[in-house]
Amino acid sequence: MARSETGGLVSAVAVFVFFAITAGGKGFLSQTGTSDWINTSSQLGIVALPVGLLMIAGEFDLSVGAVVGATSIIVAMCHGYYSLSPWVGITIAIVVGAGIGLLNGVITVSTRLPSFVVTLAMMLMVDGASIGVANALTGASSISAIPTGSSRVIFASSWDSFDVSIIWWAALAVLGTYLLEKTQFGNWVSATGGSARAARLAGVPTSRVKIVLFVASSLGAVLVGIIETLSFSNGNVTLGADYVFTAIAAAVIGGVLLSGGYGSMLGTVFGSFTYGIASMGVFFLGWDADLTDLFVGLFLLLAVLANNLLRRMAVGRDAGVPS
Amino acid sequence: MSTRHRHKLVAGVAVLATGIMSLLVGISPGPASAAANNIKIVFVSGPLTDSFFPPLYNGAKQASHDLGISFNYIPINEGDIEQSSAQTMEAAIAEHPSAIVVGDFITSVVDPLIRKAVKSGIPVYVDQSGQDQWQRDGAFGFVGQQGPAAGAAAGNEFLRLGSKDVLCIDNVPGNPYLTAVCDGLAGVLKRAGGSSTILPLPTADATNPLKVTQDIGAYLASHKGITGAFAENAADGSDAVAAVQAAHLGKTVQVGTMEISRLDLQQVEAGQMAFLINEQPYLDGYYGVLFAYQYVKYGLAPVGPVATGPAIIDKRNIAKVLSVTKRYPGVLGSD
Repeated sequence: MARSETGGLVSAVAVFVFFAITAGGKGFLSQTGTSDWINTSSQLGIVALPVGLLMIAGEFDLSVGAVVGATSIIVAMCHGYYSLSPWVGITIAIVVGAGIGLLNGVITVSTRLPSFVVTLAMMLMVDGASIGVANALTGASSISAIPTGSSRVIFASSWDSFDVSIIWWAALAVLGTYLLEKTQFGNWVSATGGSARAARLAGVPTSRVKIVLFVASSLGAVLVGIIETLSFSNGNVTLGADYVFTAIAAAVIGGVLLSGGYGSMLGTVFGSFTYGIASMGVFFLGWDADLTDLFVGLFLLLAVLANNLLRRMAVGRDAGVPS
Repeated sequence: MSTRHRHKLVAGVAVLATGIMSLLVGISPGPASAAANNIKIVFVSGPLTDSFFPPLYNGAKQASHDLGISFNYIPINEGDIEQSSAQTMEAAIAEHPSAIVVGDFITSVVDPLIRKAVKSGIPVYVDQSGQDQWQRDGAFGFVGQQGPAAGAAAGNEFLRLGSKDVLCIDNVPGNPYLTAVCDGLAGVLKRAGGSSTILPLPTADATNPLKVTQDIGAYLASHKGITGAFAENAADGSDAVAAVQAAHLGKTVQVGTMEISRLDLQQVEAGQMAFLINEQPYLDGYYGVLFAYQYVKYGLAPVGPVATGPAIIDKRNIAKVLSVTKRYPGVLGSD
């Protein structure tokens, strides 16, 4: 019970069972219905995993949505507008994304300003720069880009409606879990978020840990930006804007503490599943579509409440888990 | 990279550099004749992040360049549209321009400010939205597309294709213009014995094409009998095509959309998208500035509203449209 992902697992299973009963006969349990929520969860999950890791280390990244949009327009401009190989745009996007993460990290650790504010400012700057450059160069903020060759296979292929993003997500979840639970770096991450001062005194390079994690969260956003742009053959500067909220929501549903120091990658995976199931499931209920947002919000609130309750129960048995 | 694109790249970098330089030294770029002409037009309209508006902006910019006047575009923030509609219009009035061109999206907020501007001696031209209010507000003209007319045009296309029960996909629930389009569509279908329901896309999904595609697919799966899907922006149109293809409904569900993107055009060419409703936003921008200029200078203006849409793009004229998009990107719609 003391494991941080238990709450996320319970939420995901509960939401799934609810929709399997209420909407199972209306297509939710069909192959398309299943691929719908797994695809949604996987794209969100790719952003949420490194965002969750960063939150465990005690910092936020609100610029991920803007990085998805910037990546999208860079890839579409290079490939769709200038007719260069998709790999040129992908490479530039990775460099730009890593640069944004590096800036987020360096500014946050050197100024000691809250990362909430630093990355909020970065979000606005990246949004503005994307639209400014895209419109000056191409006269558009939305550009078609139809993928070709190897980039299509790696980022935009699917099997019977199951997208390749699921493989990326699974690989990143395994990598993240290994890093967090089996390596010294993972110990440093938890220590940095638990008490940065104590961690520094114990010799943990907290600044370096945070900078690396800021770069990682930007790169997660870059990957999703590439996948979405090439899968839908269209780049747009506003793409991904809502990951700012949903990625943090997925991490919190999965048991990551907003205050840092506690959480797991597997929990974040379950959090992404919960969001994916709830946000797709409501469509299969066949209810009035006007109520969709209301129910998605309600399910998320219930999921976090349930998680909180489970964690408190766990605290009773294991004094080491913060409430 | 083609020569044309390379030239545009150089031009784009030059624009950025000029912009940064002018910010640094505190002057604004513009043709030398701007001062001589002494006409300044402020244009209040939608944000460039919305794929509809870059062509409008490009048209307005081109007109001000051609006419040699000074020009300022103030974008409304769609995320906080009421408050922002008021602020941007207040800012436009405070600049004391020769004329204001405004997209009257939230009429209850913008109408009093149009009257305020007119009262203080600034002529106002209403552009793209506000077709029912402009005369009452004292504006000197309107150019754009009437929402119900766009919906009705789409409805007639669906009827021509044999689709009577059509889903209207609303990407900005609560936007009165988009609701009017869906209502126009529903009116035509109902008169022909059909029906239309609105699918409001959740706001959290608006920037996620995977979600939009799957939302549409799931709705079609749980509501059998729908034979048409109509989207209100270019990206949602191609997402609707993707949803229909994924569900193997390409033969039963016809797809149409407002707005233009290169992908939409290719889908029309490939027969996956039935038609596009084109408002010709470049003309909204160009004519808005041109008409305001002529009104300020000579007191002349077209009598009554000028319609820039709904023009229809389908298999019959796609070849010509594609050749224009190739030659002049950023004019028809998003690239």
